[in-house]
This record gives sequence, structure tokens and C-alpha cells, in this order.
Amino acid sequence: MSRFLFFVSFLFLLFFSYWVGDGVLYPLGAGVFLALFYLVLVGLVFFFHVVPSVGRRVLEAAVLVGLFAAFYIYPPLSLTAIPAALFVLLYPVHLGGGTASLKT
Amino acid sequence: MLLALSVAVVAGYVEVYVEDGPDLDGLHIYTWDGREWTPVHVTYVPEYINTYITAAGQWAQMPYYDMSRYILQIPREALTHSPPDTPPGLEKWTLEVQNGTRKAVVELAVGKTPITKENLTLTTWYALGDQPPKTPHRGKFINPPRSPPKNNEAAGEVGTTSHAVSPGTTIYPIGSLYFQPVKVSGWFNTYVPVDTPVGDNMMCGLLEMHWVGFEVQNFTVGVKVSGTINYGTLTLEFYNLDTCTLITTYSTPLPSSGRWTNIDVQPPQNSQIGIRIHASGYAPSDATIDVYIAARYMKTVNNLAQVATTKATTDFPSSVSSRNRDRIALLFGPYVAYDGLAATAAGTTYSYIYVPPHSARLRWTGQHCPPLMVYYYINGIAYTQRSIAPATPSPANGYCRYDVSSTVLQLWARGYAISKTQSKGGEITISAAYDVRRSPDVTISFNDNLEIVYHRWIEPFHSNYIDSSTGKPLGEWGYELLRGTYQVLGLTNLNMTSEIRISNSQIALSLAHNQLDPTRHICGAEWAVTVPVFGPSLYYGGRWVEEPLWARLGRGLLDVVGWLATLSRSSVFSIVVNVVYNIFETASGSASVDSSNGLYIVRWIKGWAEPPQPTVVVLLNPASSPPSRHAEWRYFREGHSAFPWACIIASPRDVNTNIYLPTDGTRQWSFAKIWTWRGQTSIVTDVLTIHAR
Repeated sequence: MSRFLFFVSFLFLLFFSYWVGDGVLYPLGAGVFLALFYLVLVGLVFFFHVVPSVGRRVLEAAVLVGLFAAFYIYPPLSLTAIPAALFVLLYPVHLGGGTASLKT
Repeated sequence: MLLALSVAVVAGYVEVYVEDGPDLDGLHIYTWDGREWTPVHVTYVPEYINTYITAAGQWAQMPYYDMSRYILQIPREALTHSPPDTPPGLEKWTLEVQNGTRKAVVELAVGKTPITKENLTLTTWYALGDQPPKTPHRGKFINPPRSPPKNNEAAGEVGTTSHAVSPGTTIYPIGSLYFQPVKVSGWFNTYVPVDTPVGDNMMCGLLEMHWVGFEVQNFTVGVKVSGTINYGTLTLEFYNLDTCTLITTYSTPLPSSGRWTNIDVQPPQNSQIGIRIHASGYAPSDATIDVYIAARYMKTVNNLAQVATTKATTDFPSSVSSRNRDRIALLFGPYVAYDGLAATAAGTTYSYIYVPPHSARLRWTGQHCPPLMVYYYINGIAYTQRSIAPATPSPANGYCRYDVSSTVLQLWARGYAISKTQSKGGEITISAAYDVRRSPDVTISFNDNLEIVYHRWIEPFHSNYIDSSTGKPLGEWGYELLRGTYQVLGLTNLNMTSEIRISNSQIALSLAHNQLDPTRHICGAEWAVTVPVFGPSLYYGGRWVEEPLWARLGRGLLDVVGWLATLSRSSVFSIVVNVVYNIFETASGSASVDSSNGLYIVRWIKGWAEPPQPTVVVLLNPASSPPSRHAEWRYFREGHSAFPWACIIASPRDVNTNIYLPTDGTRQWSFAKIWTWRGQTSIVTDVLTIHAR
């Protein structure tokens, strides 16, 4: 499942990057990019293991997209993109560490 | 001869319908009403054709004029009174008027010089009618003094090389003078206000003076009266602005509806001319008077920087279908009629209109395919016609196919000037009409876009003007001149106009468009020019675009995070930070310049936190000493919002027009002329008001 998650989200990420091409990413595009990136990272961290609560991870990605979409309604809300980016970067690492400690 | 003809529809007048009559362009026509010579007004009769308006994707009945069918408004008494001798300078024309079996003969006095009565010039007014003739009176010139000109013989296809202006050429540019509508009621006596963007309307101490300029040849004046006006008089006062003296006045009875006339005055060629328009009369209820003037000049091109190029195009749908119609037309436009169209003494212009090759497919039940007649119209006025032979002599699978080869047409000064007398600034339309003989299934397919290119005189100076600081004919007067325009009419009602203004100190690229739907709008643009530029700044409708505070804050915070990313040297970290950075960076609009191999690409991208912007201006600094005085505008492309994902930049649209840069110099020029030839001369701040023309 983790490999499937990795490859599917990675493929989508590649396709999305190609589609945007020469253009400029707006928040929803950035949200989709980061959500896919998050799933890629999760898939990568757990490439040789089982992704804990896969449904919840996908839900987190969807919430990310929803959050970025909300920027259009209230643009200053986009400041929350910074903690969201940290979440995308660090939470997969945290999940990986947590799982590793459980195993040990 | 003395037959009692019925009273006309118009009280006191008989409307006489003439078919296949001689061209009356520029003529004044009079008839004797028993007491005096009275002007005969002319209303051209349209033919309505089912027309597919390509930019709108809709069918509509549109009027077309061949200018040989018109209604003459003749005083009733003229049918029963023989005139005295024709006034000197006018020719005698004889018109036979028939109503059923009854006939009468009316003698007309016709010429280019109008009759004057006391202070009034009795003008023949012309109008483009909006309905077929209802009058029972039919007229026929029984001794036409000249053979009726066929509109389609005056100019056929033109060579593609004849459209370019070269140095040393004498041209006859046509521009507009701009006035505001004036509302009147009761007895009125007023000057028509000048439409000036800066509110400066006084010269020589006189209010509502419109600057006209040097080397003025003649005028075409259009007047539209909405409402009823009695005893109306329109007076044009011509002034020499160098000496602040009145040259002459031209008073004429005010027409009753939308009409135009040609006015020949001989103003001094080497002086600046100004014009004031005075209207007087009685309006029983509220009425509005609109005055539109097209002025014709004579200029000698000393330097190609005095000439600019305008280009317009229409995206064409792959095919248009029709059923059971006699005749159909495709209309391209309306395009902006920029001031200064370079005409010739003969009334042709330095322009070309490329009508791409296309094919027509008609369902046909007969044994043999008939030839297909194609008629071309410019601004609704007949231009030329072609007979297209079928691809095969007999129908194939029930269809006749016609391959219509490409053709090149040319704008005519006359239609352009008439358009400018019908509305503020005028417009240009191109139509192709097809005799499809009620075929039950017609398909017309294009695989290329229609294009118009024309040259315009852009500077207001005298031909002999020499800039004292440079010794060259073209001066720098501190204002930016419009040196390139490109209009795109797309499907889905897209209307997009991009303009390039250049002075020695600044270059302005502007875009105006009508795609403002939040889910589908223009979100970016890219101009590729060979003018070396740097330092872009962005304006929306004249307002400088500022980055919002929260976006600045976000970028600052990310700079810190980015610094951490540098420490971590993690590319994953950098990708994520960059994506978020992009959100703050693209919150507000941005303009950038990239260059490669001498091509400068200027790009505007709308901010995602901004609403769609109808008018965008990018101001740029030119290089202090450009390598060449000649530059090119290579292409333009726009960005469409793939809302709310991203802004996707479309494929380039070839513009490929020349821009000649002004010569060096610092001479400033008069403030007065900024509202004349609007859209071509403009002060630096007003360059942002790109809707004004």
C-alpha cells in the first residue's frame, strides 16, 4: 500500500507539474501540489513498511487542499501556509520516527 | 409634368426612392420649392442580411449599403414648380419621379459647392437609413451627368505591398475631434463642450475650443439629434490659434436625426487651427445633440517614427452553418478605428485586410452546381464581389463545394470617415456575404484568421516641423505616443486590445479586455518586443499595484524558513518553501522582463488575491541609447485563468509589426493637443487611461 501511495501520488505530482508548465501556481494549485507532495513523502518514509492509518493521511492531504482553497475567501489566511508547509515536511518524518520507536 | 402626386409620408416632403443611382458622395443637392433653392437630404437604403457575428458567435440581421440606393427628401412643392436657371457652379440634374402610372420631373441643382443664404450654408445632409423604403415614389435620373459608379469597381484586390508608407510620401490622415453630447431644452444657445480628459478647454481666451492642428484639408461633420429641435442652427467657428483670430464661420440648419455632411473650408495650412461648435434653436422637450467630426489633413512623412501600425484580428470558429437562407454574411469586428488612418488623395489608404482562404459547402438538389457569389463589405458599405466556380460541376453526395481563395482588401477613407461621424471614434467591420440560394444545409469553414493592418499618422506637428534640439523632423514633446496597437476578437465574446506607447523616457504596454468572469478571465499577458527595456512597474486602471501587507509578512517569514533550508541543504525543504513562497509572491500582480537574443519579453501575471482587472499597464524604462531606431513587436500572448488552479499562458499570437522609435531630443510641446487624436497623444499620467481614444 505504501508503494502504491508513493507511485500514484508521485505520478500525479509529475502530471500536475507538467500541466502547469510555464504558468503560475495559485493557492489551490499550490495546495494540491503540497498535498501530493505530502503523500509522496509519507509513501517514501514508509516505502518498506505499512503506512499507519492510510485513510487519515489522505484526509490530511484533503484538508490541506481545503485550507489552501480557503485563501481565496480570506487572503490573509494564506499565512497559515507556512505552518502547513512545516507540517508537510515534518509530519511524515514524525510518523516515521514514531513508528520506528514503536518497533524498537 | 404637373401631376398631382400624393402627399408624402414626411410632412411637406416627398420621399423619392432611387435605385442604381449615381454616387452622391460629397455633393450638395438642391431643388426649387417655388420660392428658393432648398437642400435635398439623402438617406442611403440598407439591405438586411442574416449575419453571423464571429466574435459573438451569434446571428443578427445587419444592414449593408451599396450607396446606389437612396431616398431623396424633396420638398412637395418642387414637384409642381419649374425652377429658374441653375445657380452658378452647380450642374442641372433631372429626376423622373413615378408613383404608379403618374410621373413628374424634378430638376435638381447639384455640385460640390453649397448654396449660401444670408449667413446660412444650405447643406445636404446624408444618413445611413435603417429600414427599406416605404414610399410609393420611385425616382430615376434620366440624364445622369456622369455614369453611375459601381462601388465594386473602384477597388478590387490590392497588392500586399501597397499598404506600407515610406519616407517622402504625402499622406492624407483622417482623425477625430472629440466633443461631449450637449443636452438642451427650451430656447438654447450654447457651445458644444470639448471632450478633454484633463479639463483644459480654453485657448486664445475662448472656452470650448478644440485644437485641430496644422495642414487641415476638410472636415466631415456628423450630427445626431435625439429628440425634437425646431429652428436649429449649427455653427462651426474656425480660429487661427497662432494669431487668435476668427478665420471663418460655417452655419447650417441642424439636421433632424443622425446625419453627416462634408465641409470644405480653406484654413491656412501653416497655422494651428482651432474649432468651436455653437448650437442654437428651440427644443420643446429635452433633446440631446451629439457632434462627431472627422478631420482630414495633408502631411509629408519625413521619418517613419511619425507613422504607427495598427493590427487587428478575429479568431474564427472552425465552421458556421446555416439553413434555408437566401443570403448569409459573416461579420468580423468591430475593430477600434484608431485616429490618423493614412489615406491617399484618391481615397484609398495604406492598409490591407487579409481574408483567409475558406470553403463553402452547400446541399444542392439540382444537376449542376451554380457559381457562388461572394460580396465583401467594409463598414457595411459594398466593396467588391467575386464569382466562385464550384469545385466539381455537379453535386457530390448531394453537396456543392466551393474553395474561396484568400483575398486582400483595403480600407477606404470614405467608409472610415463616415464611421467616425456616426459615433465617437468610429469602428471598422469587415463582412463577407454569400448567395446561398436557400440551400437547406450550408457550411462555411475557415482555417485561418482574418487580419487587418493599417498605418496611422501619429504626430500632431506640421510636416515641416524640425526639432531645434536635434535638427530632425520628429520632435520629442514629453508625451508618449501610441506606436503600436493590436486588437484580438476571440470566440466567447473576447475583446482584447493591447497598445504600446513610447517616448524617449518611457514605454507603456497596456491591455484592456472584457473577460472578467471570476472563473474564466485574462490573468496574464506577455509582450515580445525588440526594444531594450528594464524596470517594469505595474498599474491597474492608473493605480500602482502594491503588495498586500500580509503577503510581505509571509515572504519575510519564509525568508527565515528559507535560511534554515539553506542550513539543512535539503532540496525537499527548498521545493516546499518555494511553493509556499510562490503563494505570497503571486498574491498581487507582478510584471517582469526577460531578454534573450535581443528579444525582450515583458510578462504580467495577475495576483490570485486580486479581482480580474479590465485594464493593465506596464510602464518600462527604455535603454538610454537603443541600438536601433527600428524595433519590432513580435508577438503577444495572454494568460487564461484555469481557476482556481493556475494562470496558463496561451500560445503566442504573431503581431510582427514595426515600431520606429523617436529621435533623441528634449523639446516640450504644447499642452493643448492632448485631447486631439486621442489614443495617440497623451501625457505621461494619462497613458494609464487606456480606454480613452
